Amino acid sequence: MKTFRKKIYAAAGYTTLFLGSGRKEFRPDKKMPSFEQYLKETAEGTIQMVPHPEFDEGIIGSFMPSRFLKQGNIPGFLPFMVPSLQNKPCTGVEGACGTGGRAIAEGIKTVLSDLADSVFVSGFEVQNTVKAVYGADILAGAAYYQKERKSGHAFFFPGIFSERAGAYYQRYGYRQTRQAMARWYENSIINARMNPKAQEFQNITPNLYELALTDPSREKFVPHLNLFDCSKVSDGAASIVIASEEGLKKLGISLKDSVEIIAMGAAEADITQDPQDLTELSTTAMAGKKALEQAGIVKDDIAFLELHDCFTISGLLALEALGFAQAGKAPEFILEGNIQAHGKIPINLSGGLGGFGHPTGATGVRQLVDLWAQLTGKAANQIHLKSPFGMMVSMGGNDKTVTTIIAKSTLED
Amino acid sequence: MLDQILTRTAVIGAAGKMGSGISLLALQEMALLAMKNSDDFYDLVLIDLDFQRLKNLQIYLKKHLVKFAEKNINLLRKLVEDNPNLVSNEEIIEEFLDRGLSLIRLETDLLAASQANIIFEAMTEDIDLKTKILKEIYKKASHKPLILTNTSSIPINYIDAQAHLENKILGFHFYNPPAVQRLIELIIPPGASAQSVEIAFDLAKKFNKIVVKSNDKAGFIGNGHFLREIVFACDMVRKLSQEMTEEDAITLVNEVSQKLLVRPMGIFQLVDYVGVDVVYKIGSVMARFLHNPRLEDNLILKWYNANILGGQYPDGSQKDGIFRYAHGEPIAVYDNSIQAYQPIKSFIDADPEFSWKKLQKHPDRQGVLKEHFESIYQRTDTKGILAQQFLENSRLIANELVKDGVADKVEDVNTVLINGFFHIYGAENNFIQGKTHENV
Repeated sequence: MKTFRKKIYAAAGYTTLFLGSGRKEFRPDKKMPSFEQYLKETAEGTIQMVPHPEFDEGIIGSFMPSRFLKQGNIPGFLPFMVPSLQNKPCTGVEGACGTGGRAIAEGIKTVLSDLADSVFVSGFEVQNTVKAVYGADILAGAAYYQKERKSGHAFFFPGIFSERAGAYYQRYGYRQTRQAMARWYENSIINARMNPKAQEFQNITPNLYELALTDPSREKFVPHLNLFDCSKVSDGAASIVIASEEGLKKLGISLKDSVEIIAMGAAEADITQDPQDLTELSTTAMAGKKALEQAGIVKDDIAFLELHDCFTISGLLALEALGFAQAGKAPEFILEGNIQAHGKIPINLSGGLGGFGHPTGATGVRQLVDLWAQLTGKAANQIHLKSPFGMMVSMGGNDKTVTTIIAKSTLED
Repeated sequence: MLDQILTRTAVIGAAGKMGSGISLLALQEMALLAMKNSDDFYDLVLIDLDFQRLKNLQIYLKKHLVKFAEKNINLLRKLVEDNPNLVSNEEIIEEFLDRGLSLIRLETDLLAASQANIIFEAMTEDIDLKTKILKEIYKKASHKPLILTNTSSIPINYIDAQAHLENKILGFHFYNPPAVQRLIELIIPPGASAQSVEIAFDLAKKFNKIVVKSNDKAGFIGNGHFLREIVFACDMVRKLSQEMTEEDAITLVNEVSQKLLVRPMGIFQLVDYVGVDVVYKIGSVMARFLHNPRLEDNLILKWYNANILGGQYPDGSQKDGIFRYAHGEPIAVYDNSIQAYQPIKSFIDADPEFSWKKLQKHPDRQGVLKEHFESIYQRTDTKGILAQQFLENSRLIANELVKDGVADKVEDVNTVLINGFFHIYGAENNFIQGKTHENV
């Protein structure tokens, strides 16, 4: 894949608190923050970092506001969020849990097309408007509803990824895989504790690993996953600016406060078809390959990852899809400590979906915000990076809608 | 057999505090059966004299049926897995609600129960009322319904004899609130058939209850212990009143029984919770049938006559009784001498880290309790001594209930106290050091 015809940058990233069970502020019996509040907050958060916030376009991603909020025509909220977007082209994007990645991709393409020098890109979801038992029906829309909902588990996606976990246990072994998934969970919470806006920031539970080792139970939940293997329902929003070099100048953003997006890999799979191999995320593998090829780097050049761990098993499989471990070897890789903050390839320094939270439409944008923050030295959980490259994977549905982004620091060593 | 019997069910006193919970339990199970066997006929007759209360009951049942469905969505999905038209959780819950509500029939005519195969009786604790109504219903019934009475004190064989029920009645005593509390006391009178007993056990299992068998003696196990403990507490108050005011003595005994015995509430607060009038009536019944006039205590009578009744509002909040309450906590105590409430004193400093609530989920509860009671036994002050006496008296009562043939074994008394009264240890335990105290 060719490199971009001109340099593309990301800057001024902002994420709201991701609210859901786990946070002390989460009081569903009382008035909860409205989606308008999340939108306003994230936009103002980004705008504050932009000296001249006159954007050429706006993009907003959300998965199912029409059902969670009975609200459509989401692009109409962009001028509400960012006054300078009044009378500018505004677009809504949807790709299930991969919405954020696709929203970023659209922003990149618009700037590459020269139709815009700068794009305000945002993503949000407010899901706690309904009880989880009904939310599951809505989220099932990320799969092929007509075919899959009836036979699916009451809470749907845990059942889907439980099948993947079951297939993985059968092929590669149960005990070590469970241990790796428990370590993944532990890593998520340890990292979330470093991020004040993370849903699991206030989680002080001791013995995380032992807790996460609880054997799955079909009677209590799903056959091959326990509750610690699952990200929770969240509300939140995130936003970031995508711009050309010219765009950055117009906005008044300096290069050192930006990161360069050097690659974007996108791949889509037929939603009506079952995965060919439950132990592989083939679409993720394709998108990852495209991005690495475009970037002209290899996986070992990547300093850290933000992966789409809606479930611990999906994080583990993503690791193999990107080639960081061979098929069946991700558990070993994880158990060697490689994914920790000071490991070989730190994963989800934000806490990831399991630790930071997962408002479906916001997550992909939040991931890029975290790449940007880490690469510009602004991250809450800042580490010393071994290279200037960070990579994210934004996945929608059961490995159907995947966008991978590789960003590069503009800072001198 | 139980599933077949449940097709026609009645609840008498359905709109009452206990009746509404029993109605909900019956409705939940019948609605599940109706989901599973969509072509079968189900009829749940809810009977109360107050039609407005029955309409309110309907609203209550709808709300809680939805919660039940949401909580049991996995089961519901399994029940309808062959129905292609029910796909989403929302559709399935709506279908369950429709089926459940459609099998309810509201009636103010008590005799409507005569068509049922199984009748839950949850009327007020009035011997004459129960026997009269049940006699009429059973007489009218063309078949022989099984009657499960929620009486907490009246001997079942007495009701059976007075109402001519041909041994078709068992005691099926729920604890408050029936939909939440896991305990059922199953009182089996001597003439009960094996089939009736089997149905009762199966039903309790369906309701996911812990069953303790009690023998057919007035008060059974739960009230057998409770009323005797109340009498003991009143005796303590009378003794302490020689040195302090009566209202201070009441407060002190209440605090000792809660804080030093580590219970959810003190003995007199529990009387308020149950209702002074209810306690009075239970005491009267037990006094009559056990030939023990002491069970009708003068202090309880004094409150009852002064209309100091306690009990609960429809929303479950506590009414004023022996104590005046704010946010569920006693803030004043009734002074009989001036017939008014006095601000409550506190005699025992509460350690917020050491409470019944905190200890419920403590990983080493037994160890903590052992240490606590060891320190209680080292005390020689009034409060310490009172706590020791209370503890020992509770054990005495438990053993007497076995000796008197109410409970088969002392472990059954423990089970009732732990599951029905939310005690965190049984009356028979390893904490007691001294001799068992004689009743004063």
